[in-house]
Amino acid sequence: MRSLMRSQLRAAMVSLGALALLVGSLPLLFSLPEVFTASDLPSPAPFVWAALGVAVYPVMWLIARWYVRRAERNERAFGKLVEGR
Amino acid sequence: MTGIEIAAVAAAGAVLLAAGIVLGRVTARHGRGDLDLGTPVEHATFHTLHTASLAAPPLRAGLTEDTARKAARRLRSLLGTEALCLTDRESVLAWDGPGGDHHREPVMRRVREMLDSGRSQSVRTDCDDLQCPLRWAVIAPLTGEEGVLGALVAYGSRESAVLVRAATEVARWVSVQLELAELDRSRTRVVEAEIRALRAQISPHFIFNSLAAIASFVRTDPERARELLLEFADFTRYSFRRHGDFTHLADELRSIEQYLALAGARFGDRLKVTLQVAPEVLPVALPFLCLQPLVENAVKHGLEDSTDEFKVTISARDAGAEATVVIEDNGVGMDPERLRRILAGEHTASSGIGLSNVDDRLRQVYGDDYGLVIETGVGAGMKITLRFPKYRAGVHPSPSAGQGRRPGP
Amino acid sequence: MNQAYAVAAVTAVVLATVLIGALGLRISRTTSDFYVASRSVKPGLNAAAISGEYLSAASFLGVAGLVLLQGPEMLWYPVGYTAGYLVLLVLVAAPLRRSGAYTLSDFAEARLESPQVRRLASLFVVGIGWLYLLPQLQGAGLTLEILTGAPDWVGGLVVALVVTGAVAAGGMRSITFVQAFQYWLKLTALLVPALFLTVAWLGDDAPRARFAEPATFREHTVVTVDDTVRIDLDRPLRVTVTGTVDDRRHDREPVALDAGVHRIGAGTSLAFPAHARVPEKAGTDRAGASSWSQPLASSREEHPLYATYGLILATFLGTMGLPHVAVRFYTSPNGTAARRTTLVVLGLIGAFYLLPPVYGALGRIYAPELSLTGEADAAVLVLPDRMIGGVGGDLLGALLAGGAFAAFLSTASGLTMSVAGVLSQDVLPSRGVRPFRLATVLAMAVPLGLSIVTANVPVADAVGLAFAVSASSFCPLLVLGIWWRGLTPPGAVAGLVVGGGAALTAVMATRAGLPAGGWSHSLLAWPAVWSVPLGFLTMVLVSLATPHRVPSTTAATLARLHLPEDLIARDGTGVGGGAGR
Repeated sequence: MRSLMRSQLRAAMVSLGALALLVGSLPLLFSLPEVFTASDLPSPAPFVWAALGVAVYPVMWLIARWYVRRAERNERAFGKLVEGR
Repeated sequence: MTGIEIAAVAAAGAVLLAAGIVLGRVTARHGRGDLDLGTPVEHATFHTLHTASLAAPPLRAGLTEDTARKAARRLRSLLGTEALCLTDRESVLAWDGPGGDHHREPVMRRVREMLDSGRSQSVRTDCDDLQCPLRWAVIAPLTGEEGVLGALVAYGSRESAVLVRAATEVARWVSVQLELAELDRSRTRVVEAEIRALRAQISPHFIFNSLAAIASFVRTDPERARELLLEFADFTRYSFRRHGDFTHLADELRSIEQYLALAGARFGDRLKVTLQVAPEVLPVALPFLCLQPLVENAVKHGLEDSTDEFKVTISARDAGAEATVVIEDNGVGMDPERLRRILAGEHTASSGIGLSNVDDRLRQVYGDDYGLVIETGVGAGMKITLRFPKYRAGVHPSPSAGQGRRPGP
Repeated sequence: MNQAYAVAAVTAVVLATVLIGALGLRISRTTSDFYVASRSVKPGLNAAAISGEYLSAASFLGVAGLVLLQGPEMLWYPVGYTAGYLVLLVLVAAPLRRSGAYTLSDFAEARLESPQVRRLASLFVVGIGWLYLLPQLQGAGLTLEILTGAPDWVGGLVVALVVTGAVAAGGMRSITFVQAFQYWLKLTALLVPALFLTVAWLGDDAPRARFAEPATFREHTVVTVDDTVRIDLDRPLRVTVTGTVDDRRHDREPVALDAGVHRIGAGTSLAFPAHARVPEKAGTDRAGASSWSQPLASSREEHPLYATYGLILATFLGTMGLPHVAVRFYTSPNGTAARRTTLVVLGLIGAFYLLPPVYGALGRIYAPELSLTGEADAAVLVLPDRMIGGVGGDLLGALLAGGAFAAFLSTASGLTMSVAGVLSQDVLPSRGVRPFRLATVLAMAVPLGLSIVTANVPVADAVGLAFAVSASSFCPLLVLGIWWRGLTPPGAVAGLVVGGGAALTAVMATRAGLPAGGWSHSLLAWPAVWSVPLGFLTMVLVSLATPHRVPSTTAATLARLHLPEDLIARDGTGVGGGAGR
């Protein structure tokens, strides 16, 4: 049973890692003025709007969908393992 | 050849021989000590354990002629005796090895002597047949929960303390197997008792009537008959689950549905059922067969005691941390005095068992606050209210693996 | 705006809620319908119900208000609310369902078998529930005030009465249908006007909202200030004043105000000319309640990165501990359904959260004076009248009012039911139906009293408090309880008290305005960054220090939490009992 817990925990950690990376890093990104002076925008505002207002939601949903699929696959594999005993 | 040369050759030969013997001894010892393949002691142990493990399974089913026969052979090879037999208190069950024909009678006499003392005995067989190798017998008792069940008798050609010791140990080990067998049997007895109690609740009349109703459809509407048969199968499969389990409210409702489908086949339009369910309470765990007997009770009395149309309403509501189930009917009702007596445990008629049983079980699981609340009067129908906490420590529904199936299109 | 339409819309919403709650049962009259009636709730329906209950006044009004004031950085609130569900899905959803627990105190008992932990968890549930309920009532008050001019306690009272009455009278028979209806109502209520407003904006040559600079009035606007406000002008301004400015009374006179700080008395009306700049509020006023109405968010200026991460941690980790979130999982039939339901929830609330920023940006352009009056939360309600006007504006405004009230009602009823459930089971002594009614009244009375007594706080901020406390107390309990064998009752108690207590104290201190500024203020205003690790650490260390108190049934409980249900059925106790697979 520990093996199932481990694989589920791994799937969870990967999802959280993706969340932290893709979404949690945004504040750092926003606070870097160099990023934006390079792209010739007067202010970072449009990027912030686009990212926080729209883009994060599909990203989060896709992470969630990946996780659900993974978790169900883990459970099915574990079930087969147990059954095959 | 001169004498000196002969002496020299002889001396050299002797030295070589001695060296060879020493060499041989040394390598042989090493060979014997080769850990990969095991010492003879280890081999013997393996062999013993293997034989013992093979002898165990038949005896788990108890001490009968059949099992004794299977076990005796292995036990004899375990002990390495000339012959071995297993007996119960009355007669010899199995004999392995020579001499069975003329030793059966005498051995039972000895066994009966031993039964009282319960201790191993070692005796001379006094056999008249000079060809027969069985000269000494060790009679070791086989004990169970209730005392001596029989004996294991090992025969040797001479008296041997080793044989006595070995036979006693083997007999002790066989006794353990027999005690385990008794344990298995008693567990089965408990389960059977429960099923019998359960069957008392699922009325045989109901089974008979349902099958009769199904039969009546076989020719006129075979599809419906098939449907009903499948419902019946599901229903009885659910009902014969173990008594102490918990189940989901959804499963219990499904069982009620099946019951009503079967009852409806019999009573047709006279039975009108309304179900009101708040879907949030469907996963609530409750003791197995708490609702279905109440509905069956209501239907049986409502329809069999009168000829009017009979309405039953079952509703399941969400009440915060509890779920409330109300079963209401417009039947003949019951005298409140009689009801009080039934719930206090004095069963008057067969119908009482359902109500007091459910009440008892609810109180047992959830506490005295959660018993049945019944409002009734003669000619005024009956309204039963049950409350189930949504969560209770120790209450976990056994998931229904594939319970129920979709009714037809 | 036209009061009649708005009041009618609100009334309609209230009636619909009560009716669906009372009648929304699955009713089948023939036995063949039983199968339908007793079928478990599909993930889609349950997800709509969860989303409906979750989208509170903070989501409907608060986010737009904050965006108006502070710009797109405020979008971390809705992102956080959504991401919280992702974290919940990944770490908590299926195991929580499999534990069979209805409330979080049930979970504490199921996992640790300790009545003390259960009681402590109940206290936290009630506390967090009240913290979350308070802004709902205040938001309702604000809405009714905008719509009808009623004093701001009336709205809260209306919501409280409706919810208490419906719940206590046993009318909320079917939460699921009611909340699902509320979700679709809220989505529609926010979507339809947004479309119209966008068209109007485009028709206006699509002016850009500027957040880097102060907003400007598009046209001549009269602003009436309810409470005393200090404004800071960076250049001279000519306004027509009716009321008190700098302790001098004027009566419809044009006044020239120099650059610098001026004090506007309560009840003063200022008429600004077109294209005038909207004055900024001057700092935080210690003298009086105006610090309460300063959005916490404005203090983030000092350490914006820290504040953002504080918000992220609080919302990402706090969702799982909210009282009305955990109970909704009970409706799912098994762990797999719970996960799928959460996935749909993410989609539904994500779709919803696309809309408030639109209102915030438009509010900045068309209703910038709300930053002065401290009623930025009203941006959503005010815009249709401003931008479209006439009957169309009135109707859309009414729709929005109805949607806002749906938000209050749904969240308030969900919270009240959860808190009342916990109160009746764990706090009040006796059992039976009566304590539940009493518990409902109690659950609502305390926040109602507080909402009347305390001044209005921006809704999204107040909700953030509840998140911070939840993240510091229940997140460690849930995560460690589900994934770690070593959790012990003393550890859980220590973690709850230290983590949750620290967050609560920090939040209260900030509200009282204690630390003036600098790091101490930021640390206390956004405690999640340190209080969450504190809670985890305490729980882990104390559990490690009391290894003899690990519950004996831990292995079996964890097996039940993690193993798919059908495996348990097939194998009996074999699978869970096998050690160390």
